[in-house]
Amino acid sequence: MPGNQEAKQMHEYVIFELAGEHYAVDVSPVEEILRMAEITEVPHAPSFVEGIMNFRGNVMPVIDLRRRLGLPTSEHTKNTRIMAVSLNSGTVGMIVDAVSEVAEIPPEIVEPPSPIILDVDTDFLTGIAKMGSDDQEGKLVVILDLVKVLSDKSQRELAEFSEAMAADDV
Amino acid sequence: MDFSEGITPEDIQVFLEEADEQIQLLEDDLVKLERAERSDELLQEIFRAAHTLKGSSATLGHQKMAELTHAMENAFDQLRRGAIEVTTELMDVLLKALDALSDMKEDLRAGVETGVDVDEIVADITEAIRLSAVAADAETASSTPLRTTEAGKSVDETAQMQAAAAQSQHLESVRSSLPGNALHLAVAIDQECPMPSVRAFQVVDLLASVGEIAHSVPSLDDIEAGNVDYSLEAYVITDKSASEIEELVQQISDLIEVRVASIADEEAASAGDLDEPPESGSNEGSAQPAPTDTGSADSGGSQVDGSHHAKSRQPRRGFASISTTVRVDVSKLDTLMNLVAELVIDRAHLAQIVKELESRFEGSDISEALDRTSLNVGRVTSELQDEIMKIRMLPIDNVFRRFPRMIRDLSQELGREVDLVIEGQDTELDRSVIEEIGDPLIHLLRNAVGHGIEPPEERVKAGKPRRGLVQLRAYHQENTIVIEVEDDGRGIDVDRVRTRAVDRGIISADAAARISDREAVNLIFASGLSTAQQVDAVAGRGVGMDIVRTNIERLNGSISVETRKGKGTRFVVKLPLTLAIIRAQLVSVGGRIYAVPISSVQINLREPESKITTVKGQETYLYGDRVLPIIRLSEVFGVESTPAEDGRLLIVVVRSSDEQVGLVVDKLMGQQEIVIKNLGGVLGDIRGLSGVTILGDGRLALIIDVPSLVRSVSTREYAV
Repeated sequence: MPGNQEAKQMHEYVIFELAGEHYAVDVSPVEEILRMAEITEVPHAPSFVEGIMNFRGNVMPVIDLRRRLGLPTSEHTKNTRIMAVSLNSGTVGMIVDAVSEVAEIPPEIVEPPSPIILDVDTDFLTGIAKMGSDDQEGKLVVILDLVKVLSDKSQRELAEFSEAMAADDV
Repeated sequence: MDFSEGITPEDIQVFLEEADEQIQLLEDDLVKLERAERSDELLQEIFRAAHTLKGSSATLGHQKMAELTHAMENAFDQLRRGAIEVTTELMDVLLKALDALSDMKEDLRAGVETGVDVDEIVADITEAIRLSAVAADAETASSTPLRTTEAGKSVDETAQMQAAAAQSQHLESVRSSLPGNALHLAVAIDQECPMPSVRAFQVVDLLASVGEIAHSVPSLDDIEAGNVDYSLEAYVITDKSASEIEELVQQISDLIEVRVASIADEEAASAGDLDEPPESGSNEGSAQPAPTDTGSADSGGSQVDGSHHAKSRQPRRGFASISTTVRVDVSKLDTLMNLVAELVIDRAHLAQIVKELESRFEGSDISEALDRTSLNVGRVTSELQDEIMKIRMLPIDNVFRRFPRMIRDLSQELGREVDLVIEGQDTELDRSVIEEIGDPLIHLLRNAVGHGIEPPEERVKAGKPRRGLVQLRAYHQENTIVIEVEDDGRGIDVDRVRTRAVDRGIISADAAARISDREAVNLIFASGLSTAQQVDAVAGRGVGMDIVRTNIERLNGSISVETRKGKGTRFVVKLPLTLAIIRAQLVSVGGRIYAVPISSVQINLREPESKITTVKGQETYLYGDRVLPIIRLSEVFGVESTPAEDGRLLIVVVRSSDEQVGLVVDKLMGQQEIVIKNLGGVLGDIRGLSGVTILGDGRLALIIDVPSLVRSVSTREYAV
């Protein structure tokens, strides 16, 4: 069961792919990883909001994490997944290209984010981990701070969005 | 703020809840008292409420509240003894004191130091008591010390004796219902002890910490309120042994005798019995008055815990009903409601699956079994839904109860004499509606007193009774609740409304002349129409009838008005019983399903495209003699419209406030009950949508926010 204390201390992360890069998020708030499902578009919603869907009988907003992070968008494939993540504001679904594994990332191998090598906004990042064993080619995993992904900037955009709406009214 | 030692946040919470109740009770009763409904029981109830508040604030260590309640209690004591009489001045002061109490309570809730000046109010009360002294009795009254005194005893004594009789009778039945290992405890408190109730409290507090108190004499209520004599008896269910309990209780000071035995043991030794039960009623004498001088209640009250209070909700009104109610957090009910809503959705889904399977495996046993089970699940779900809806229902009294005080203050302020008669305060409706309905009703009532009821002289001149009558009525009608606000005042001047509506450009002079009085009076709900009187402080805060209507319609309700010049006015508000579930017309636009609340749907039309004309950039359609603005939902929502094959437009005519708008949709999908859900935190408010619902097949349907769509058209129109 993800979300308990033990998992947190183990530094477990869900590792997934976006635009050919590896990303990771803390496993504890991740409630479920779903296959792509029917998403109902919401008119006038912020651009990164894909729509809403029925998740366990509740209405869950779904955002496109590529768009959220300023990455180029792409068609959904059979590997496309929705991570249902429980945050303070409620459960939110995030569309990712594929989910590869749940793995432990020891804090020792996490380095602070360097803006040079990354396409995405460093505000959202906790750090970068170099993973992989000796016989394997090491891969870089970008660790995302989900709370930030969904707060600061989203709030700002939502605010701009409502302003635009209000202006539209006049 | 400093509290007594050992007070926990939970204690404060419990205190606040109790204070809420007692203060409301006091307010209700004081208004009743002033309306000359004086009775011994009422005065007794008032006194007890103040006394309880005093005791609990002292236990908490809230000096200011304790001081103030002490002064109030004193006034009530003198009132019930007839030493002083009910005067407007006295009531004003006491109600002000009550407001101050309420303020302090809210400050405590907010966790801020209170700025209320208690000394001043206490001085006011003392002065008011002096002035209200019954003439013949003036001397006694003014010299009465701030204590419950001998004179107050006779009333109390009778009440207590009756209570004691009821208690000992009850004791037998409690005893027989307890398990054999339950402990029976009898304690005698030293007659010299200055605060027997504090000791008794310590005992029950201790017992509550090691087990569950099944029953006690005096009751937990009485102990808490300080009505304790020098003995205490209790039945406790605990896993500790009699000797362990005895040892623990012995540690409390001022106890002369402590006896603990299990019921089974007592039964065995039944011949030589205890010389209990105590005669609670006979010798309370000096023990009866409150033990608590402010702050002296050190009482180790760290565990004035929920269980006591939960049981003390129905003080003294029949012990038998004590444990039949439970307090539940509202959020738990909301969760329960959500879960049931999910079941409702699944039930619809299940029914669809069953249908499909039946067509494939027609007549097979398994298909029939599934059908039966599915039906049963459906039935149980419906019942569950009904029951949970009922649990969420509260009597409308929760809103109504603040009105007597409001009307009293308002009529005094405006120099009116008004009686408020409330009917149907037990009528139940969902708490979501209760939360929303208060403000519109306040507005209607303020209007009734401010604009409806004439000043007394004017009424007398018109041959009406001097005192005006405002009636507030609630009742159920099918699946709605109806609330009426009626006054016997001067009525609405319909011609004046006409003139004003024409002045403000709301309707043309022609139309004004043509419409019936009944239609004309409904113009008061139009936005921008406020008659001269309505701008004063009474109607208040610049809120007009249009806002009242908008607020009511937001709840999917309606409001109408009837008036007769010189006779009075009646507003009729109709509301759904709940906001969580509504009936909706489902429509399809661009392949997606949307829900339109049925309460706003007027009619569905099918008209050729050619009948749509564009006026000032706005598409319109001539419907009867009305020009109906047309909104194409496909444009609003930025989707491709798939028009009907015959080239006709499907128009759903909706209404909000007084304006109608035609919504162009692709297809009608039937009507059904839907459960309203929020769009979710990330999305926030989205114009044109009020929420979303999950359909039987699991798909989502966005709910159309009719008022905002209608407004978007009208603002555009006026802006041009």
